[in-house]
Amino acid sequence: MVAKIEKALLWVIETICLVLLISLAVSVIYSTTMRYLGSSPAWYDEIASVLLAWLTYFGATYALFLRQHMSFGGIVTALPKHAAVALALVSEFLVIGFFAVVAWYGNAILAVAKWDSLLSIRWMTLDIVQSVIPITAVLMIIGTLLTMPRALRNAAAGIDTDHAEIEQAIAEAERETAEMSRKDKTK
Amino acid sequence: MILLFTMVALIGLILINVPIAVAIGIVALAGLTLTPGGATLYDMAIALYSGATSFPLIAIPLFILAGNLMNTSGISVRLINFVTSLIGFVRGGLGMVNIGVSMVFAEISGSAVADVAATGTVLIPEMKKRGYSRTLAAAITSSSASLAIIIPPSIPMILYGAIAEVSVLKLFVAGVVPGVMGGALLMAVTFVLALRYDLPRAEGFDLCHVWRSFKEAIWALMMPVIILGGIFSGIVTATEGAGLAVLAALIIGIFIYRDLDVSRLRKVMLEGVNQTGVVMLLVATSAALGLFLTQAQVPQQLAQQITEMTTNPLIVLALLNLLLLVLGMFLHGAAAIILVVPVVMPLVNAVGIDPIHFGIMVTLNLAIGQQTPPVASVLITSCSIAKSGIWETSRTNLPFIGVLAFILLLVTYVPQVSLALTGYIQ
Repeated sequence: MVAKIEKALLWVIETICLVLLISLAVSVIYSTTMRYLGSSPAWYDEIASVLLAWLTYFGATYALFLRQHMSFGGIVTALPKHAAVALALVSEFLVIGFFAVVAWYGNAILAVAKWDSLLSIRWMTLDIVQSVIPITAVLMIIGTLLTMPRALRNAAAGIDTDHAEIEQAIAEAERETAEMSRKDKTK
Repeated sequence: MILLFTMVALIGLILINVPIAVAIGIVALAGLTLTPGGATLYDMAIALYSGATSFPLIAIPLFILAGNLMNTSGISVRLINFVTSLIGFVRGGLGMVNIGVSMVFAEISGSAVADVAATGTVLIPEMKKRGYSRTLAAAITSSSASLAIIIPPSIPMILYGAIAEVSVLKLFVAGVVPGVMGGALLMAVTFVLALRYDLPRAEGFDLCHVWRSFKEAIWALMMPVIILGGIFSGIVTATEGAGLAVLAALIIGIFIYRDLDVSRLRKVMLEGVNQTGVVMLLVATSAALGLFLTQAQVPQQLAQQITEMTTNPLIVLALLNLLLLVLGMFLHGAAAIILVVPVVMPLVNAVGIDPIHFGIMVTLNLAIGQQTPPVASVLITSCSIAKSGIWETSRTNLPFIGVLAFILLLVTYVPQVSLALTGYIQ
């Protein structure tokens, strides 16, 4: 059940991230082209900045679900099992506490933000734009809770996620290279 | 005192494995709550949003995406084949090929680990097959990939440019001369080691083979031309150049090399999203920390205390180098830039150091930091591919780290090395 919820949420976050990334890339390419055609779009600077902020927070949420934010696990993984798990728990609750505060205050400022809007799209009020902060903060709390058992298991087993990430990157690159040379041979 | 509290709290949180971006946010939160002043947690929430809207940073997700597309669409492999056919006949040629290709490709995608994995998995096994020791293969890959941090386009430079509010274009240009000099010196060291260990040539020189691999690689070679040519000539800005790089990598990957299909494209984009989220959350939470530090006047006090002791730029530069080298050993590159630059910029300005010059110094220090455990992701990745020990590889790596240190000293005390070309930029 938990795994299903995690998978479904991850799929939604992935889809939002992909839409944001494609929109950002398209708006930069479109604006560059239009600048050379002599009519730079007036909305470009503002919308591209908003897209970046949304991509930042949904991307950060995605990275959190995958547990790939930069960290230093060398000390915790070197500790005895019980101490490692205890410290990992402290770390998890600090993360949850931080995002709870961010969600609370991020939501509180929306009441003021709704009286202002984007300059290029007047109907888009700033509470819509800045709602990305409380929304993703709540998602990051959920993500931390859903993936916490995995993190605690890793801490107990002395697995450093940095090293695990490196091994994964190498395995993927090796797979890519093997596939490419197979393709070259069949051509 | 406040700076000390900030550093101790940050280090403590990082050591218990709190993600660095969150650790920065927690320290900002605690600082704003515990110290008197105008800023509140409402301001922190606003800073978390506005910190992620800095316009120059739009180049980051796009360069990351372009880099990932290049890694996946076979561009790096074709470039390796071409450069091998061109200089593989020199003794130690494969090591030189590694240096050349790493310098072009590493640090583009924002994930040094993914970039080193992409080129290292092709070159390191080949080097081992031809008699290079594991440690030498890993050391060459690692040091050259780290030097690439100052070869444009470079995500750390874009970060520095946005934080220090200086031209990213000028930073890119300033990195060219030290980058090329460093690359040449790394190749020279490789050549000397190749003679000492009697390493073989990669392959004989065959004009037909050069032509064949050139035809295969011509589109791969167009990528740096499109990105750097466009940006340096002023045709496009750094952000627009990043957009063009994505477009070019897509066209080459889908229509020319035909190595990109929908599922690969999706995977590559999600990798880009992940790396963007990691770097940009750091940027956003550091904006909140900046709010606290500025309120507490920490950067100004630091500048005042140091300038009371000395205003000699040479001594200040030495102190800054020391600080950055130590931090680089314990922090990932992006995190170190985000934490250090806002704090030391008032000092840098107070003693009259050019911020572009300082930017190259910062990135070079981080390049060395990537070679020194415990936090040395590039070195660890290279060692994992080569299956060599980190400490043995570090010993073999010493002459290459020596080259990086020499370039750092040259850049630090001869500013013209980095700044000469920037005079030609408007």
